[in-house]
Amino acid sequence: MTATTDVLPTDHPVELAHGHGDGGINTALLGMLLFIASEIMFFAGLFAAYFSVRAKYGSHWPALPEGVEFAINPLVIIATLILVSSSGVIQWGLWRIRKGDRRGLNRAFALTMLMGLTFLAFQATDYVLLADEGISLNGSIFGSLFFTMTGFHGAHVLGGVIGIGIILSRGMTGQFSARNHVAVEAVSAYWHFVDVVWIFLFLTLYILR
Amino acid sequence: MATTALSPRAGAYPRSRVYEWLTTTDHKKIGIMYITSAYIFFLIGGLMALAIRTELAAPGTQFLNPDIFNQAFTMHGTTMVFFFVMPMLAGFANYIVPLQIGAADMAFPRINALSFWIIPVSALLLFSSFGLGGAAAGGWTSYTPLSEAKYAGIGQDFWLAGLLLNGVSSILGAINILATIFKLRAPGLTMLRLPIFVWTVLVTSVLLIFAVPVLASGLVMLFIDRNYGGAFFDPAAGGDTVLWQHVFWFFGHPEVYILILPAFGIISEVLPVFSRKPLFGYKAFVLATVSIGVLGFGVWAHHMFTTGAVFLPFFSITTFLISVPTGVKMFNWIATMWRGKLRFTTAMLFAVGFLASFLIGGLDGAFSASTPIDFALQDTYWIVSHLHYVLFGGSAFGIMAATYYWFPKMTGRFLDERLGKVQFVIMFVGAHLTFFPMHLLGISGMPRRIQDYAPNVGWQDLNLLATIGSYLIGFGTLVLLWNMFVALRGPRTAGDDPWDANTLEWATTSPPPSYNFDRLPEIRSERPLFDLKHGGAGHAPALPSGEGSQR
Amino acid sequence: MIRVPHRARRSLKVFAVAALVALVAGACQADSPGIFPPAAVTQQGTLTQDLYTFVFAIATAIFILVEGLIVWAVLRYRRRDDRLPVQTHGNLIAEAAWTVIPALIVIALFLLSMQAQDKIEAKSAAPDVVVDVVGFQWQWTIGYGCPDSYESATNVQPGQDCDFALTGAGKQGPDLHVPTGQTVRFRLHAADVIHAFYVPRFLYKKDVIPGRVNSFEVVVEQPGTYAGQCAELCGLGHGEMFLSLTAEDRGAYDAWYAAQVEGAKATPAPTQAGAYEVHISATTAAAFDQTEVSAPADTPLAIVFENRDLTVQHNVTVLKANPDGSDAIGLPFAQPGATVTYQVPPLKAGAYTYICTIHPNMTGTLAVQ
Repeated sequence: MTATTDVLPTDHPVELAHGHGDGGINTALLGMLLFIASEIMFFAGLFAAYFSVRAKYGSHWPALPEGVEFAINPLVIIATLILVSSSGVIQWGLWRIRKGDRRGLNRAFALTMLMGLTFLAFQATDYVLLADEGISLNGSIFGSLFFTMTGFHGAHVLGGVIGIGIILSRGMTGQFSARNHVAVEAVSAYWHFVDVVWIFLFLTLYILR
Repeated sequence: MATTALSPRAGAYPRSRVYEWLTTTDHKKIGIMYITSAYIFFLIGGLMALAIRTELAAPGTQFLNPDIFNQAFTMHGTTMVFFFVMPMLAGFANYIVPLQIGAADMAFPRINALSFWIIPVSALLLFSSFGLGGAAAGGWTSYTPLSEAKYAGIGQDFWLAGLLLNGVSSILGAINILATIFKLRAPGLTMLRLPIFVWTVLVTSVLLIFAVPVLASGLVMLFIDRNYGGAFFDPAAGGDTVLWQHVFWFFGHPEVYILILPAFGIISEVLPVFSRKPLFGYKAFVLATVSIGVLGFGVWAHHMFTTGAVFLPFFSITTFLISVPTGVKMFNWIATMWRGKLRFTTAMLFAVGFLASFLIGGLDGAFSASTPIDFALQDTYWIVSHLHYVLFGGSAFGIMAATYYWFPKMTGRFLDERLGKVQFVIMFVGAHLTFFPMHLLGISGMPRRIQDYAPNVGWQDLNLLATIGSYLIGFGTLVLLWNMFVALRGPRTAGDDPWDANTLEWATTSPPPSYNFDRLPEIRSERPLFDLKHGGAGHAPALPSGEGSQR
Repeated sequence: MIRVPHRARRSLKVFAVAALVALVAGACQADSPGIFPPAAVTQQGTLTQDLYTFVFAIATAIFILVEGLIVWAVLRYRRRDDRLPVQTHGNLIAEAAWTVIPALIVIALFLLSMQAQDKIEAKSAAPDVVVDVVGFQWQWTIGYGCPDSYESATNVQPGQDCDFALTGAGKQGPDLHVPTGQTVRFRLHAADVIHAFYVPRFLYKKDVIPGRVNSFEVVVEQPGTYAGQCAELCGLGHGEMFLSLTAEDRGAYDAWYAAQVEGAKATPAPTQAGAYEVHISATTAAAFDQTEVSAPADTPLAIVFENRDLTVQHNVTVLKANPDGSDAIGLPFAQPGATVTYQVPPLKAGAYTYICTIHPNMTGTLAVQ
């Protein structure tokens, strides 16, 4: 599910086509959007599982072993703010390269990558703290759902960070321009998707409960 | 091939033919590899089916003990669905779609190669479980809690991992197909001029993108349950075991249409060509295909009527309604043949056999959509009969038609028509002999997935009949293999357009060059080649025009 | 193009049709499986039967119409010359007709189905008899007179808290009794995996699902004994998970009930003093850990059975050990991880076979010297 880098248009498959479609969206970007659609369905499956179990428990939620409490960690709020604002940063980078500003692109992507890594570090810290409190993947249905959903999201963040890293390394060698930056478009679309999934996860797991 | 040694390329290039196939990104070679491996899996799945039928031919345990029996039907179902029909249709889509839309290749050729090569790897993973402590034995549906760690061995993990990989292949393949159809169409080929096969593949790909990831999420959750102490589907640990069925069938029912829609498309190519008429009601057909795709996501819980955990009226009405677009197609096909000039090639025979058999599977649907009747028939051999009428009488007959229809394009050689007709008769009789008695067995109360039955319940004769039928199908398959073997050693006599066909794949050589087309005819309808040969849509007066013509 | 001679093709077709007709005709003989379900024995099943007949009639009409059109097209429109036929692209009226008419038919079928479904799934406020069915790998336990808590309790083991409980001896499974002409509610509980309670003559089945209690009601109208079987794959013994159901008039049912209650009171015999203890255990469903044990002759025996198999229940039944030559069935079954002691009457010298009634493949020899 996480073979995101395979979809990256590191070559230029469009050249192979002597067909002429409707114009409009770039082929590689279309591929990325379709891939994101399938990813959305993957998370939809997990969310469906969550809400189906959640509905069964009514007010007895989160269902945790006796004496274990689940509370929101301030770290997570900070991590959320970082991830949400990183979407703005990556979009800014995209706007820069559309105008042909390579340095702007590189700066924005470096910052996004850093923010993504910070998010992952905070998430790892949160996992350790939760484990100390006795909430883990095994042992309770809440734990299973929580760690599976956030864990798969984390893996997608990591995938996004790797994608951003590839863009960054190519950007440093000046491979993108105002006309040729479809890989940048694809990676930033993916990053927005990862961000939106987190907003839903955060609302579902921490706020609405 | 006999000419290999004489090929001038053999000496000129150090890279071998094998290396060329292993590293190819040509959609035609990848398509052929898909089709070849799918036929291999058809043989494996078929042998398992024969083993099952052998055991059930008579009461008592003769051939397979319950343990092996459960593994056999689980792997039979899994193999046929995920490793025969899906890769087979992906293979035909791979080969034919770029040709039919006048493209040089798929949108992402390297991802295309990746999608294919995942299949043998996932199959290896799945089948290795036979030697490593036993394969999965919980049915192709792998209902929890029977598939949880407490009740199922390591084979279940191999099953989960194998299907997960297989799913990645399907998703990547579907993305590739969609991007190809949307972006690489030849000039003039608007969406409403797409060949129907392309339309059905398009809708199938959308279904794959929306359905397979949901299965993947279920597979992942079950894997976590089994290996990391998760509690998703384990009621003892607070989970919800019916949830697995929801997740599985949310994928599983669109999957049924994933398996049948491309076969609809194949039939809709073959019938017009051998009737020498356009497909009757093209737009209605497209609309029906799309509405099947949409409705297909709203019927999943009709597999769960007896769980007592679903809202019956909703899933009953959606299931009833989905028969309407399917019925529209059936009438469109018959109307296509009506007043045509039918030529009964083997492909055409399989297409007509498809209509005759799939009709039964479709009418069965009206029974299982009716909740009270479903309460009686669910989980009996009636269901086994129904699903095989759809998947064998439907998908497999469609695949046979496609094989005979496109073999000349792929190889430049004809499959022998006489052998083909022998195969058709054997398979047609075999299929009905195998699957019709199962209707009766199910109605009289024989549950599915049982390894044995008592001698005094009256199920003996019909089971024996079904077993004889299954051996006929097996024999028919041997005829096909022999036919392919002989044809591939024969001369290339097919020519570019052996069937006097309508679509672009016949506007190039057989087999096509690696870049597919030197030049394309002008495209003004869904039958560009017909237009080229007969004056075309712009020169309608030259043709006898139908009174009921819409366009 | 190779063409199969016209005559040969036609004779093949005739053969295929004849074979199908013979198959259907053969299948329609009395008392063998046919295209109609066996006669329903419940009020509810009769509704299903009528619905089935109605749907079947409509399906048959459509089948004959459509197959007729296919066969007509195949016979009538075979290519006889190379002239291009009229290129008909569509016909709005025809297409509208074959969209709307089927839609109306299926909506009618849907409404009829819902009407029947409402009656079949209806629950009465106070059923005359409530039977609790517990499915486990690979048998059934049936509880009569169980407490009201069973209505929603998911993990139940009918025993002392019920009037009595039945379990099957060997492959036959338990024999449930129900009164005819009265409302019987079945409450379905699963101890391990999903099973399905299926009595074909009811024309009905319902899944038995761990973590939830399903229930349904029937009024059995025809007295008789009917076979039932698990209908949802539940593992190795799925094909041998039988039960039988006897419907009799209320008087006979009450007498049977009273006898069962008596039997339940009498069964739990206290451990006999001085009994010789035989220890047997089982770790898997493949075999007993001990396949040969010995005991002295003419001494009461106590078989201490430890079920170390954490997945399924087992027991120890000594074949032909009772004075009347019947089997000494080990009841109750030992739950996973539990140890149960079974009393066996004094035995004469000889070799006795013991088995697990749930898994008759588990056997051992009791040598009495």
